[in-house]
Amino acid sequence: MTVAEVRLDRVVKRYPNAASDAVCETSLTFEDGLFTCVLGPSGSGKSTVLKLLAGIEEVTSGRILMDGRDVTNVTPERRDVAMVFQSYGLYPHMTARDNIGFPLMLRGMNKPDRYARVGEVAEMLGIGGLLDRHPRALSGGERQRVALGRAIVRKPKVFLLDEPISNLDANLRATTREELKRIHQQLRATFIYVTHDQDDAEAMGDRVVVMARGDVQQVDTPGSIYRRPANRFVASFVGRLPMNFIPGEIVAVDGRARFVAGVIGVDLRDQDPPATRLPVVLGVRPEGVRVVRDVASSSMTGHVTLTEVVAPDEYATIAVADRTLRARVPPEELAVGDEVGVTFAPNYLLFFDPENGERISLPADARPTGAEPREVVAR
Amino acid sequence: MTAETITVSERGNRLSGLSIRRENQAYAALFLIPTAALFIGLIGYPVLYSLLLTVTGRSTVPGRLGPFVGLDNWLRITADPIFMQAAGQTLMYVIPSAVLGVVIGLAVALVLNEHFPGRSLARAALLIPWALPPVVVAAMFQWFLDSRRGLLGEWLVNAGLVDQPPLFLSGVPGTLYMLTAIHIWKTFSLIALIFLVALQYLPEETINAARIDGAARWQRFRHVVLPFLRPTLIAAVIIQVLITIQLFDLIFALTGGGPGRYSTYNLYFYTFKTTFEQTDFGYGAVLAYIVTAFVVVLALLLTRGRARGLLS
Amino acid sequence: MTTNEPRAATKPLIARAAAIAGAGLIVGAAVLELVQIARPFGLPFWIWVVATLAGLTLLWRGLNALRQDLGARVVASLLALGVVLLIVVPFGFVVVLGSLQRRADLLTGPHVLPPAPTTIAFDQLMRIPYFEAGLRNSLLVSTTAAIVTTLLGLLGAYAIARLRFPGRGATYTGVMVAYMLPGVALLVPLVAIFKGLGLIDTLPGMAIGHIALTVPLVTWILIGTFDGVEPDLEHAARIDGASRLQALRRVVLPVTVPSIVTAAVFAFVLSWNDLLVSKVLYVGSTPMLAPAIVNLMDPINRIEPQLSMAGLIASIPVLTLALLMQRYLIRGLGEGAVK
Repeated sequence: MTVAEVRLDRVVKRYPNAASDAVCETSLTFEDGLFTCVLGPSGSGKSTVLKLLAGIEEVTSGRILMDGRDVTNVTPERRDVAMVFQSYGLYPHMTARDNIGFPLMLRGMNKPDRYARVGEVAEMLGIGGLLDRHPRALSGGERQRVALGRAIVRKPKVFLLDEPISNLDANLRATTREELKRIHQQLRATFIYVTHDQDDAEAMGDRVVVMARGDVQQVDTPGSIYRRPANRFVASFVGRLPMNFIPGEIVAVDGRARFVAGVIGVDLRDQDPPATRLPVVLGVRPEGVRVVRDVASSSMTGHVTLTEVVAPDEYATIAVADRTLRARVPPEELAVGDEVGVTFAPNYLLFFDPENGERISLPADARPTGAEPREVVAR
Repeated sequence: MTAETITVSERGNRLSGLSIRRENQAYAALFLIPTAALFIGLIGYPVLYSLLLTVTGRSTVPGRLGPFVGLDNWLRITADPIFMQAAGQTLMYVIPSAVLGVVIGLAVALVLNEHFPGRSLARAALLIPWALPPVVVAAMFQWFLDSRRGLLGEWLVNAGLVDQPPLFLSGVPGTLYMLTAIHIWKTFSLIALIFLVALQYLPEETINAARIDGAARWQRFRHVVLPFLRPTLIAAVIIQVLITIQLFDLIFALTGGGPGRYSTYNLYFYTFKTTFEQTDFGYGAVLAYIVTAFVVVLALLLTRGRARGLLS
Repeated sequence: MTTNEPRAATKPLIARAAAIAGAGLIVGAAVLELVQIARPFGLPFWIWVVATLAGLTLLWRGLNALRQDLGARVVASLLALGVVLLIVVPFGFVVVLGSLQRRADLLTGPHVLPPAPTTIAFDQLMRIPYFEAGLRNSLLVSTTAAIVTTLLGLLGAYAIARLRFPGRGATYTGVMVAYMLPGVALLVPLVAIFKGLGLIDTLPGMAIGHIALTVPLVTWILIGTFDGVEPDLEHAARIDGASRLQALRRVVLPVTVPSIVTAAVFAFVLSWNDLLVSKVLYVGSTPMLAPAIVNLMDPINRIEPQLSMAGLIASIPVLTLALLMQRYLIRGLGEGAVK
C-alpha cells in the first residue's frame, strides 16, 4: 500500500503586480496517509498552497516533492493528485457517470471496465441512482458527491480538497465530515483539506496547519492548536468564541510572581518572580474564567452585561472595571446586572509577547497543575 | 476497493513532458502564430503602411508608393471645404441618431419588458432590422419612399396628411434627414435589445421594494429603472455614435453622396470617395486616420468603462 | 369595510366600461384609418391619432383598476404590435410581396394580396450574370470567412484568455484596437498592398479581405467567452489527467459551443452584409451580393420586382440564422455591437 508524503521546500508564490507574497517562504511536510487540514481566513494563502500542490499555479521559487519525486514543474495531469473544488468543477455537458469516469477515460480504460468502476464508487457514496443525470439536475449535496467520486475513482495517492463542503447546509456538512473521515480511513491516502472552518479541522484533521497572510502560523494536532496556540492570531482564530486578551505585566510581589493589569490581578503559583517588570498579554479562553456568586470573598468583582447561549453552553460578558471578560457560566444561573466574583483557572492562562504576539512559554512547573482543560477535539 | 494506482498514459502528447511554464508558452506560441500572422499581416502592417501613404503623393505604378510629399496631405485638410462640410454632416447624422435611436430603443425595450403573450415573437422581430443587409434596407426604402409610386407617399396622401407624395429623397437637407431616419430604423432594434438584456438583470426585489414604498409606475422608472440603466444608456449612446460615424452603405446605395455634389457626405463616405474613386491614397489615408481617431477614442471610452464596471 | 362595499361593487363596472370603450375606440379608429388608406374618403388624420391615444388611456386605466398591471400589459402588447408592424410592414410589402408580382401589377398601386403571384422575377434575376455570380461568391466567401475566422479566432482567443506568456497584454490591446478599426481605415492600405500582390478582384483576395474584416470581432467575442468559463472546470480536467489539448477539446469547447456558433454567425452576417470591402475589392470579375444589389438599384425606376427578389434572396440566409440563433445572438449583441 503506497501512500505519499508531500513536501513544500522553501516555496514562495508571488503573483505579478501583487504587493506582497501570496505564500511567503514556506517549508511544510504533509505526512503520508494523514488527514491534514489547512486552516486560515480568506487571503491567508491556503488555497494558493493547494493550487501549487495541484500544479494549477506555478511556484515562484522553491520545490514541491511528492513521495521524494520533484514535481515542481510537472503539469497537473502528471502529478497523480485528485482534487475536489469548492465549486465542484463538474463538467456540465456530461452525466454524473461520465463525470466520475472522465479520469479513467483519459487513462484509456475501456467503457465496460470504466462504468463498472464508476458503479462501485457511486455505491460507496450512495449516488448509484443518480448516474444518468447531468450536474444541473443534481442538488448541491449530490454534486459534491459526484465531485468526490471523480476524485476517488482513480485511487490517487494525494487528495486535495478545497473547501468541498462549505456550500452545503449545516446538517449535510456534519454527515459529510464523518463520511470524508471514513473514506480517508478506507483509502489511507494523503488528504490535504483547505478550509476556513475550524469545525472541519477539529472533526477531521489528524494535523492542522494554520495559515495567515501567506505564512504558516502553526502545525499541530487540533487539540494542541486549541490549547497551546503559537501566537495571538492562532489563539483568536481558533475557538468558537474569542479568547480574552488582557495586556498587563508580570511583577514580583512578596517574592512571588503576579500578573497585574489595573484591578485585575492573578497570582502565578510555581512561577519564579521576574527580576524586572515583564510586559505581557494574558490570554484566557472563556472556559478559563470562573464566576462565583460570592462577591465578598472575591478579589475581582464585576457585573454581568450580557448572557448568550452557544448550545450546549452559556456564556456571560462581565464588566470588570473598565474591561470586559467573557466567561463560560453554568446555564440559566446568571442574569444581566448580577454582581459576581471572577477568578482565572490557573491552567488556562497563556501569555503572549505584547510586541510580536508570540506565545511566551512558561517554565514547566508553571504549566497546568489542576484538571486538564476540556477536550475539544472529537476523535 | 483495491489500492493499485492508475497512472497517466502519456500517449501521443509531445508537449506533456514540459514544465508548467514551458507548456504554457509552447501552447501560446502554437495557438497564436496563425492569429498573430493574420493580425500583423492584415491589420498591423497595413496600418503602418497607411502611415507611409499619408506622406506620399499619387502613385503612377499600381502597388508602389508615390513620391514623398511630407506633410502636404495633412495640411490639405485645413483648406478643404468638402472636409469641413463632411465633418459637419457627420454630426448631423450622429446627433439625431444617438438621441432618437437611443430614446426609441429604450422605449421599445421598456414596452417589450412587460409580460404579455407573444413577447418572444416581438423580440425575435427586433432581430430583423439588425440582420438585414444594409443594401436590402436601402433598396427597400428607395421603393417605399419613392415620390411617385412609393407606398408611404400614397398612404400619407390617402390618410389625408399631405396633398402630394413628398419628395423624400431629393431635397437638401431633407435627404440627409431621410437617411438618418432609415438608419435609425435599422439600428433602434439593436439598441432595444441591448436595453432588454440589461433589464433582465434589474433586480426584481428593488422594483418590488419601490412598489411597497408606494412608487407609481413613472416614479419607479425615474428613480429605480433609469438609474439602474444609466451605464447601459451611456454605452448605448457610444455604440450608436460609433455605428453612425461609420455609416456608409445607405449613403452609397441610396444617394451616392447627393443630391447636389456633397449634400449627404459624411467623413467616412468622403474617405471612401477620395481613396477608391479618386484613387488619392495619400489624402485618403489621412482622412482614414482622422475617422479612426474618433472611433478609437470613443471605443476606448466604451471598453474602459466596461472594464471598470461602469458600463454594462 | 362596510362603507367600502358599495364602491367596491361599482368600481369594476366603471372600470370594465372604460376598458371596453377604450378597446372600441382603438379598433374602430384603426379600421376606419385602414379603410381610408386603401380607399380615401376624407377622414382627417388627427381623428385617428386622438382616438387611438384616448382609447389606449381608457384601456390602461380601466384594466389596471380591474387587476394589477393588466392594463399595462395589454397596452404594452398593443404598442409592441405597433413596433412589430413598423419593422415587418416595409419588409413584407416591398421585399416579400414585391418580389412575387409582375412589374405591371406593382405599378398599379400597392396590393395587400398580389393579383397574380408569380416567381418570374426569380428566373429573370438568375439570368443576370453578375447577380448569379455574386450570390455564388457571397455564399462561398462568407462561409469560408466565417469558418476560417472562427477557427483562428478560437486558438488566438483561447491563448489570450487562458495562457500566460510574455506580451499577453500587448496582444490583448492589439486585438482590441483591430476590433475598433473602421473598415475604411483598414481598406486604404489593404487595397494598396493588394494591388501590388495582384489580389484585387480575385476570390482569394476577397476571402482574405473578409477574413480581415471579421477576425477581430470574432476573436474579441471569443476572448469574452473563454474568460467566462469557470476556471475550475479546466483545472479539474487537468488534474483528472487531461493534457491541455484534451481539456480544451473535451471540456472547454463542449461547454462553449453556443458562443462559438454565435461568433461564427456574427462573422457570417458581418461578411454577408458587407458592402464596403466587397465593393472596393471588386472591379469586374468577382462580384459579391451586396454590390450586385446596388447595381440593380435604379434611381429612376425604383420599383422593380427583380430588386425585391434580390433583396429577399439576400435576406433569407441572415434572417434564418438570426431567428434560429436568437437566444444566443441577443446575449452576444452587446459585445459585437460596435460593427
